[in-house]
Amino acid sequence: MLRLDRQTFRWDLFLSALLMAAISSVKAFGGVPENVKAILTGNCLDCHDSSSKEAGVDLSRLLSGADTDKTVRAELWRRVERVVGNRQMPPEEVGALREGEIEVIQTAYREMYVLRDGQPHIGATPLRRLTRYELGNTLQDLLLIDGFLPDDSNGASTKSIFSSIPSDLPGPSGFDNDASRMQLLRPPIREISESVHRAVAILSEKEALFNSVIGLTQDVEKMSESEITQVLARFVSRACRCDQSQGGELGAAYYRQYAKLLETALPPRDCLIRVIEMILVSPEFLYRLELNEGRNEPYAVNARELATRLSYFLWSTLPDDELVELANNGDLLSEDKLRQQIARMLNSPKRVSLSENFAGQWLGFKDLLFNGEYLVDEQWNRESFEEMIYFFDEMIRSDRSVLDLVDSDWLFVRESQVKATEGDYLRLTSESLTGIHADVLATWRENLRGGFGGKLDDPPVLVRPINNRQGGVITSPAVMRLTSSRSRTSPIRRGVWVLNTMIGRDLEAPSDVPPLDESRERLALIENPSVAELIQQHVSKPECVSCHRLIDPLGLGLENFSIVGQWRTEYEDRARVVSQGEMPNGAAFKNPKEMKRLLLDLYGDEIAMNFVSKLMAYAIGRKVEPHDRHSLDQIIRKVRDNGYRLNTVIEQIILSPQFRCRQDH
Amino acid sequence: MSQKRYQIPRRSFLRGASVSLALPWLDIMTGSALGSRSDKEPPTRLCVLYKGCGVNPHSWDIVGGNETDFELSRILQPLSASRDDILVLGNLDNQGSSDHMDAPGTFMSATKHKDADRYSFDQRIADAVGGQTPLKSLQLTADKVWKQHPWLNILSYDKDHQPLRGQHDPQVVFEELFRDYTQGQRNDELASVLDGVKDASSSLTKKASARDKKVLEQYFDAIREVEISIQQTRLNRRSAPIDGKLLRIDPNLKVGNLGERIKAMMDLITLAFWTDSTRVISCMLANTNSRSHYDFMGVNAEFHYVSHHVRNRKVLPDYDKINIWHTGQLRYLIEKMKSIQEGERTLFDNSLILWGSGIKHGDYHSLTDLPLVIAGGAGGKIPLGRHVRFPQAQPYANLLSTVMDLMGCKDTAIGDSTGQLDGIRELADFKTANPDDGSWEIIRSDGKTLTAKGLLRISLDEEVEFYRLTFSDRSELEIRIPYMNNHRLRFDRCVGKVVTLDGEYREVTGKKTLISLTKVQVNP
Repeated sequence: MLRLDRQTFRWDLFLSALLMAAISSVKAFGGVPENVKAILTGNCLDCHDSSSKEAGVDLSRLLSGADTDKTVRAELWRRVERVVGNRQMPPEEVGALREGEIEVIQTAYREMYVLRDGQPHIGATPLRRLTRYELGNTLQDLLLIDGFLPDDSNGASTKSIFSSIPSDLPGPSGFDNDASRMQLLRPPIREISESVHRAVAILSEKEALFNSVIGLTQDVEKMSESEITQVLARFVSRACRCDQSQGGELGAAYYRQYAKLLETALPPRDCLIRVIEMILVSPEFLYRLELNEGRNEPYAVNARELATRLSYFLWSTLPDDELVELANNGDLLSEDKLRQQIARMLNSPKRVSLSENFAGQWLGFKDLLFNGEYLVDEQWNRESFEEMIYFFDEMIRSDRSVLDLVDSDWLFVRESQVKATEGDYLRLTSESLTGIHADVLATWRENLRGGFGGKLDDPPVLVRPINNRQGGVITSPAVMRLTSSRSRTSPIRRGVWVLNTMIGRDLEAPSDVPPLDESRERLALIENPSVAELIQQHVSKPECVSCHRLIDPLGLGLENFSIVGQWRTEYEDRARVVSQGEMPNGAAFKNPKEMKRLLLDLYGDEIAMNFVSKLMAYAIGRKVEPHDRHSLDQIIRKVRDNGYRLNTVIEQIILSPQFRCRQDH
Repeated sequence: MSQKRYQIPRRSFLRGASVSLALPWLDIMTGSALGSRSDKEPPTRLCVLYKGCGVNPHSWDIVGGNETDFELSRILQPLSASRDDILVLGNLDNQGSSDHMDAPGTFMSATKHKDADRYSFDQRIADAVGGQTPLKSLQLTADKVWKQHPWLNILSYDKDHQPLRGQHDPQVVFEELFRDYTQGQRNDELASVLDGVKDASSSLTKKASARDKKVLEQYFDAIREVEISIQQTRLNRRSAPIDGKLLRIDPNLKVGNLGERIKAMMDLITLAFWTDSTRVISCMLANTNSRSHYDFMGVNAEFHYVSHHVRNRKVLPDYDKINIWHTGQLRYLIEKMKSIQEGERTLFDNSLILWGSGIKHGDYHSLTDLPLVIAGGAGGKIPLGRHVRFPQAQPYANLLSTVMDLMGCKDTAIGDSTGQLDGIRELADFKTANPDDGSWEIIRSDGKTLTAKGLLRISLDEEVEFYRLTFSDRSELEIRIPYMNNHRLRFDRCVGKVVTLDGEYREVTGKKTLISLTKVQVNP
């Protein structure tokens, strides 16, 4: 078996050396180095000791090495490193840390949580199971069937054969392919079996197709044991993504099942169909099993396993013939070949899964189709959904900066909207795109997997917004709807969305919110307080301010957008919309456009880092952990050097040890 | 050949939005479906209905009266015609976590922590009695599944603490209920597929790492689970006469809004019990962070939003409206189940419905004095038409223990239970908390101020709350005082108690109204 040398990954030697030096200087007190203890005691404990506990943070527990729970400690350290690292803390009024002090804390954090015995590692690789979305794609691509069932009424496809499988639940990573969440719950075997049964039944109705998909060259009744075994071995190798010897073993095992069924007087073809169903319910098919060497350090996976990882990351389906071939001859392990394959795969219509499944879950716009709570009307939701798909796919197609998600000078907007507000947009032709990959969305519209039935005739059109209002996804109708309730916009919900989703802060809802009435009473002197004034009054308590000074400007800056993302200057009660505010660093803005500009100034790097972390989590099927920090730092450096281009992010994630290696403990 | 083997019930795919629900089966549900069963006694069934988001306590609490003679509160009004079919319980305290996510699990197992023993009481009952029906138990959820926080909607946890997700789609529930009847052969095929899968499991799974093997155990557990349920269905296949009736059912269940969905679910619960398809059902009507809109009944706001009614008083009328509507759904279920005769009694008499919310106060998320109603006699074992308020707070877990005992569970210890509750199986006959000794009256009045003693109640006039002092002669004194006066005297907390008041009043056409208070004294 081909193995890639671990050295190929070029761990940052400089960093390692630095760390080794740091270790020797560390004298642990409750696990915390003395020099770190001194910095925290001198700069942080005034506000964050057990009595003040500002913002709920008590650092004295970290320093005393007391009873604190291990995961709580780790989380607290992660926050310390983060706020110290991006210079949020200590606050300016209190006095910034001295030269070198930040590095001391970062080094200690690396030593405690990022490295293991001074070495980077990737944590234990979780076993992954196909999600419903992946299973659906895989069965359609493997069996060459259409997963949609015709509706009697108008011929539109509304229901897939997989929709009876309960949807997967997003895990700590925020995605439904999170292995840790899937491991907690038993797989819905009955529903999966029924879907497989339906899929195989559809295939078996088409005799010629059935024969070619399964690999039958003649009537199964006329075939010998070894011929049938071979057919089964070939099919199982492809379906279960395994090598020849494993395929051979499984082929023989399934032949025994075939023979057993024959004894029950079932016709031979029906026996074969039943065995195909068994294969597609088997653990080898539903789980992405990998060979293991029982090691507690990263080692490269083999070419076949890499092909599977690659294919499910970029396509959410099983590897195609070309990938299988490069896996079988081992070529995929060469970095050049791997890069070529990434480029090829991003040029394929199957890349839409990145928009549908990754962006759809991350930005939440999948809910426009599947959560009735956000239903405006079917056409509106479908158009809003498509605007997002087109936007994200264009990011890949033209390899754009991930910061375009915040603001961009190009947009996809529904035709009706462009027509209605002619002065707001300049139509662009497809030539004005810098597309380096093929336009695949026409194909996607033809073979829409999921969503509402009925084809929409008009795809969203490419425009340049010239109204100084829109740009990026933050102000899109989709996001504006997803961050509003059905009856009103909520600046707080929107602010929290931007912070959590785009910037990657994990804010938790507070538990003791003072009544809004209280703020109203205090505002009694002001006639008709504005939304901003109400909120300001409402969160005037010091413990609220620390989060709300981050949240509120982001939401208030979006007040010009109604529940459905329409521009407005007054509310229904004719009160004027005020969308001005001040960022936590004091920079003021007067409208959404300016707010987004400041957002990029203030958080640009964090936004890019968050994007990398989210895509990484999606790629590796688990939440990003402290030990991934080393790779993430390397990736973000390359991404920053490359103008934050999306395809660089994709490529760098694939080239990282997290993606190409396995670790067992 | 496979045309006929490819059996997807056609009606599965006939769904569309916003078409009204039609339930043609209800007219065939006359008389017992258990006619030909050998069982002498009809079985007892359990249905748990959970409505999250708590209540406005003043709108829920029953004030005054005694165990059998009492006035239904505002939220309980829809049950006025079913007054003799319910047992309203008061002063049962739960422990554990009352946050949005934990509230349902806490309600079902009376446990303290997130990771504690979540084996829910309905599943303990299902494990004890569920073996005699095609389905061991059934879980439904009418509320939207919020994927980021799935636990919000989960009530039942099995003995391995696996959450049992509720089915949201009435049509799928229908098919699940009658799978053995419509797809008996399919079950046999499925069993053979799973058998083969276990047999053929390769060295790839055997060579998996220790961690991976643990994950695969879940897979094989899941297979075993399906096999057991197939076995159980085979064993308890329904008798022919029911099949005959079921043949006439073509449910075509289309639900356009939440109201229709809940109605369909109440119908399905009745149908499932009537056909003895299962004896244990839990149903999430609304979760504790419900983002459902009740626009079908004219409330255009999220349930959870209006439930935080203290910090935003404007929402209170809508909050009450939704809660009142939910009580109406309980009445609907009671009526449906009462319309079905089973031997000497009705299906309702042979069932036990536990209706409740995981928290009491919608804004404060309190776990004390939970709002709870029992309906159905559990086979003639529970006298109904009562309001039982325990003189001292009792552990809510004791109610779960009592229900488990009534349902035939041997081991009834759960959460912080200490035993069974008195006053469920028999008249409680507790001493009335606020006996009227004939002294409730206006003690003095001088044209400007007065002193009065009586039972304090609260009412709602449009959007404004006001108080009423009830006297021994059944007359009343209205109390409308400024917010800060109320606030400083903590007056609102005296509702439900006998109080002596001093204050200023105004008299219009002979009717006195207290307009400010100087002193409030709660009588012991």
